[in-house]
Amino acid sequence: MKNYLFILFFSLFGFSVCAQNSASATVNSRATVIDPIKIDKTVDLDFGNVISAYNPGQVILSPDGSRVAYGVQISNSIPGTVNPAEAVVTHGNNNYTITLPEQFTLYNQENPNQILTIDQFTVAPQQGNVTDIIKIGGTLNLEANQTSGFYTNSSGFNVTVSYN
Amino acid sequence: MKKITFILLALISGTAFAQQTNTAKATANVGAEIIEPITIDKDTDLNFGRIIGNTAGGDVTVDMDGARTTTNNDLLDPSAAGTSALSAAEFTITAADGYSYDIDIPETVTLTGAGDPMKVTLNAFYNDNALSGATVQGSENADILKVGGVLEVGTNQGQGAYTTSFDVTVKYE
Repeated sequence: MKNYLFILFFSLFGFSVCAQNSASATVNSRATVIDPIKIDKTVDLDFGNVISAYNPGQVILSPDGSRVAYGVQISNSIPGTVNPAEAVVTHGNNNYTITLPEQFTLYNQENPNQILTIDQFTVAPQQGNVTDIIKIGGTLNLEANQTSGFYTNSSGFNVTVSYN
Repeated sequence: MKKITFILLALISGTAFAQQTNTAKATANVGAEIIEPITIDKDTDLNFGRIIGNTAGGDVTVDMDGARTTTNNDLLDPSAAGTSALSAAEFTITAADGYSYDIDIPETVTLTGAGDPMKVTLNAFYNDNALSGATVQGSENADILKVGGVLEVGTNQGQGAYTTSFDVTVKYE
């Protein structure tokens, strides 16, 4: 009898301990899916016509399309085609970073030994809810007596955007 | 334990996947047209030649071809009429095709020498036409600027050489 009771008691006790070995709670799970960031270039960068000088100089093209010349001259009568680069960024109202090159080189179409370097790229975004229009300018650096001609690069420069 | 691990795995792989579509790139082409500076070179000086002083004075004009006329024939030394010393000034200007530029020439200059100074009123000719207005336009060919003038010789103008110099400046607009 004793043994029997003992066993029963033990079993009962054991059962309640096992029952306390699991618990459950409810966890909510959610995932927000956002579209990948996108960038589409719409306008290429064009510095227009620049008159070289006997000294080195620069032309700064701002994202708003205005040019300022230092040491060299821009013609009011024939400014040429002047355009800041333009791209549309689809960002879905998320924060993002724009990455531009530090420097970019243009080559004289007639003589690739003659180069122009562009640096100090600047960007101004025109912000929207889902897309931004970003405009990009830069500084064109001329050497003294820069040889005349059309300067370009067969590849373009990269504009990279990434979500923060 | 199993459950938690599964969720963690899902989170990690989800994040890694998002980073691959987290960056996008576009390429922009670039162009710039460089134009040579404008240049001006003097080819010939302005020379009124030999003039006879000790007269009533008067005007001596040199035109764009270097031909000389006067209001007082006594002023002209006939032996100087055909000499190469007589000339209108001539300049060669090179400017980019289609580009407007200004030409800056003084209206008058003063010759100084042994006697009293003499005033010269300059007359400019651009590609053989009288220069009206200061702004002109470059072309594929060089532009020729000729400068003649009207020299005012005083009465009994003292003998000697009279000289001066003047600048002609060209500038893109």
